[in-house]
Amino acid sequence: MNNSINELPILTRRKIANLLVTQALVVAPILMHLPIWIGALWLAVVSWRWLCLINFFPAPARNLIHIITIGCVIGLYLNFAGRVGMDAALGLLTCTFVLKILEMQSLRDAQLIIFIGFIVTSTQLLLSQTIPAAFYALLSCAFLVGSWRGIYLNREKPIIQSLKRNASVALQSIPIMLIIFIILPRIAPLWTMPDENTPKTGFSEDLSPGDLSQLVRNHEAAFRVSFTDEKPAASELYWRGLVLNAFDGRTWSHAKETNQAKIEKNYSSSSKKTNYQVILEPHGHRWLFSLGQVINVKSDQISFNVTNENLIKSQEIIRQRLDYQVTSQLFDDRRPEFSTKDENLSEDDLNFYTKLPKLGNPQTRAMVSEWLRQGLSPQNIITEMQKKIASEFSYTLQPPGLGNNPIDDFLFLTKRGFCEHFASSFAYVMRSANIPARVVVGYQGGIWNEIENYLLVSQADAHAWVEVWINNHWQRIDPTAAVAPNRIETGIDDALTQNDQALLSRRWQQSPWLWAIQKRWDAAGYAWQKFVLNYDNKNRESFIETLLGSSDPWKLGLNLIAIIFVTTIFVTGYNWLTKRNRSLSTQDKLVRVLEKKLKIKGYYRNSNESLSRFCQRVAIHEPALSRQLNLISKQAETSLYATSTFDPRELKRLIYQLKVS
Amino acid sequence: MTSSRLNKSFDEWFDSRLNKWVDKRAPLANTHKLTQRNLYTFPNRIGLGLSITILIIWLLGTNFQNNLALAISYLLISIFVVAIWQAYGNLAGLVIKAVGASPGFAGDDIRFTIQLTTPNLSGCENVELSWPDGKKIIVDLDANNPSEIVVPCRSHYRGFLFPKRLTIQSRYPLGVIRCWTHINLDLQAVVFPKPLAGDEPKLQTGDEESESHHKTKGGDDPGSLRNYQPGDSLKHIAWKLYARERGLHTKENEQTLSSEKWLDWFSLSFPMEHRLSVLTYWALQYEQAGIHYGLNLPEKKIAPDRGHKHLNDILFLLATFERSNLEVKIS
Repeated sequence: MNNSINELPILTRRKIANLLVTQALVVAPILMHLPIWIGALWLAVVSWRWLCLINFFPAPARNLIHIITIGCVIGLYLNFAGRVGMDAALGLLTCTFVLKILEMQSLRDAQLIIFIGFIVTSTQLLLSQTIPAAFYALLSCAFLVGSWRGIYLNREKPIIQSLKRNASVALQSIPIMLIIFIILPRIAPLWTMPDENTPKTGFSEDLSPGDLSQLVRNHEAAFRVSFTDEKPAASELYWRGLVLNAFDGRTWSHAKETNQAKIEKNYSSSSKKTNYQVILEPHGHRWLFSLGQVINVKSDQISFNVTNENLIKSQEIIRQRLDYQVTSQLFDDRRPEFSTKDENLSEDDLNFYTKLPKLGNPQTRAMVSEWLRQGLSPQNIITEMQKKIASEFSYTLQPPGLGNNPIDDFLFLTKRGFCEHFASSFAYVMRSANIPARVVVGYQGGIWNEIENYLLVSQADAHAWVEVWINNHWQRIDPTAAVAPNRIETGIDDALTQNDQALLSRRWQQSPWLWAIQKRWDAAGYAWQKFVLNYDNKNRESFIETLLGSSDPWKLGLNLIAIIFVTTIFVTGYNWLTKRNRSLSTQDKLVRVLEKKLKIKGYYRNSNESLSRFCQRVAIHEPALSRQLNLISKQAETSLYATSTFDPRELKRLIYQLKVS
Repeated sequence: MTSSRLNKSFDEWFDSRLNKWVDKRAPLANTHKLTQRNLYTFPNRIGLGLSITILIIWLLGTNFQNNLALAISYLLISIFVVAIWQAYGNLAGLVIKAVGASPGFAGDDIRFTIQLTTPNLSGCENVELSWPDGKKIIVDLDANNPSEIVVPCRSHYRGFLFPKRLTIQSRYPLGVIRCWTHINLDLQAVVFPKPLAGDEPKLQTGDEESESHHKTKGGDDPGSLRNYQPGDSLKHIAWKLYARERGLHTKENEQTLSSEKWLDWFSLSFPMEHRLSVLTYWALQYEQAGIHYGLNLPEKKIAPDRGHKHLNDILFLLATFERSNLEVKIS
């Protein structure tokens, strides 16, 4: 027996055209992530193949393909400078995918393209995992299956019919996929993948005037939080991310970990505690966000530690969406916010937290010396400063530029600024007055989504505030709250003037229904993240448990067998019921109707009795029907010998007119 | 080398075992219906390729902790499963009926005709039919529309040809599953000896009287032609003239050109098979030339005559000479 591939149907034009369209769909999102010349290569290959298809161009010679392949490898090497990373691998895969279509000749080549196509589709999902991306990948799969089926189809079918049959593949396989997705346990990565360069988003590691006022114009989500208990008040939602403890005259930065003692964990049971889960968007940094004083952190995905500054810091850069649970103690008026065991800063720390550049900002220094000369206590100085801000300053997204003495310029000249200006100058004033102070950068507030009950914190909520060491504890002071209380209570939009709001360009917030859609969309994305993307062994267990009452393997197996059994019975029964009638010709169906009618009268057709015989027999007993039965049997007989031209309508009319009762 | 030879012998052993098993389940019959009893599905090499693809995507999904990439690998697994169903559904219910065979000469492809009917509403796609020794025929069928398909089988020897197992297989819909069956169809064809040019057999027996001239009308004018009329035997067309583009003519009095000839077994001295081949050759020659001819075999004799039926009778005797049905069936 000759099993060679040549015997098989050849690769027709239609099949090649299908593959070209499918490839375009599959490769398009990948090309956007790759150097532009790969896109150009793809375009050239498609055009070439198309010209071959319409017999305008000869097929490329094999040697030429080899030369192009070598060219591509060199191009990739130069592009990625020899770095073997995710991007380079993706480039190589895409080049293979694209070039394969150029040399495609046999069905086996076409089959290989389909397989590579599925791998490329799954890399689409490594690049983006949003709902639209998932639907796009599903669409890619649908096209791949369609072209795949087309390879083994010899005759062209009407589009509707082939769509129907493609849909039947999808409708049958998607439920199976879902079952596998739900019940199959997840396995830890088998090896670590090469690092990718995650773009850094959010704020940077230091803070200069103007940084945050740029950032808040960005509406991207920073993280989403769901609270186990009640949501804390808006004024409590200070998401601490980074502590900046060194000032160089213009920029606050993080200089070192202080040797301040570890935070003692003697929390009083009376104080307010809150449990929450954060889903953090990858931001390319190491810091995680938390409220108040961190008591406990849990995460399966990363290892982390809680610093002396009471911040959660990951060991690795956050490249993937991260999900972690925190228990925090919120700020309580009666209790110091961050207490330390030896409730005093060491001499070193005291110096460190009051350190300022020796020169600059003379006006501010003079003001503080004046206060000190008046003998104001630290608490008084704080109040004095807050009063000053509340009375003389205004909050704006477009602060005027600051000169060489930025604090002086801000405090005495421009008096208009954004939160970083207030925090920076406030901390400066505190340090000048010998009060230990530091700037904290993070987010404040967030938008509550009542559809899925979570808090969406976006870049627009970026904020900076101050912590001062007073009464042997670090106390949070938000100078912005003095100038723009709305900023804290209801969010940035209410705190700004009309003019500034236009800069934020949250146009959708102006139209209530657009805003509702936006909220709904974000809720869908959150649910997607929580239930699909984060579906892991833990979720799996609890989900199966809610579904079946227990996650014992034997119970799962039993249920699975039951599902398969019921489905099989259902499908077989359905097939049996439909096939029995549908495979009959129209005439046969009509004869069935006739038999049923006569059965009511008590006449049964014998298995070996011809229809005309049967009709005659009944006619003898039922003279009233004899004329009609005669006509019917004649029509039915005609139908037997003229299958192609026979018009069943007459027979149908006769049979349906037959009155039996 | 050795391993490939070992492989081959293993394959042969496996095939023979498999065929025995299949034969048991698919007895010789005139009509077969494909059901779960006789349809087999098994992944093929492309199925292996799909498995490798699934593994690659699964590794990607696992190593990047990407649930959606994992979902794609699960989707492919379920497509694989669905492909088994659909590959089975494509062929299930197919009714194969033996219709007949036209005789041929040894070494030719013998044309066996079978009728295929599928009850599947969506028809039957990409069905490959083949005898163990023959070309693959690929057909597509519409629902409830019986179609007659000619499946050729190569013949090697004269006698009766039992084409043995008909392989019906399909890789539809996705190529990853081969759904197949072997069925034993009750079909047979007469294979005439392969015509071989050789010495013309001469009359040996003394049947002089039978060599009388069977003259018929128009016999006096050898080579006289008339214009071809529909209904004239194709054998009497003057093909040489036609080849010279002189139009179609019928040789009206050809038969009178010749006297009676005898295909005499005893006049030739070749080995048996060769002798039969030469006799076949001359039978065809005489029939073509319109000569009356008879056959003289050791135990059978056919009186001289001409015509299609006569030729067939003679060729049949030559084909089955000293060869019983059973012998061929067993081989």
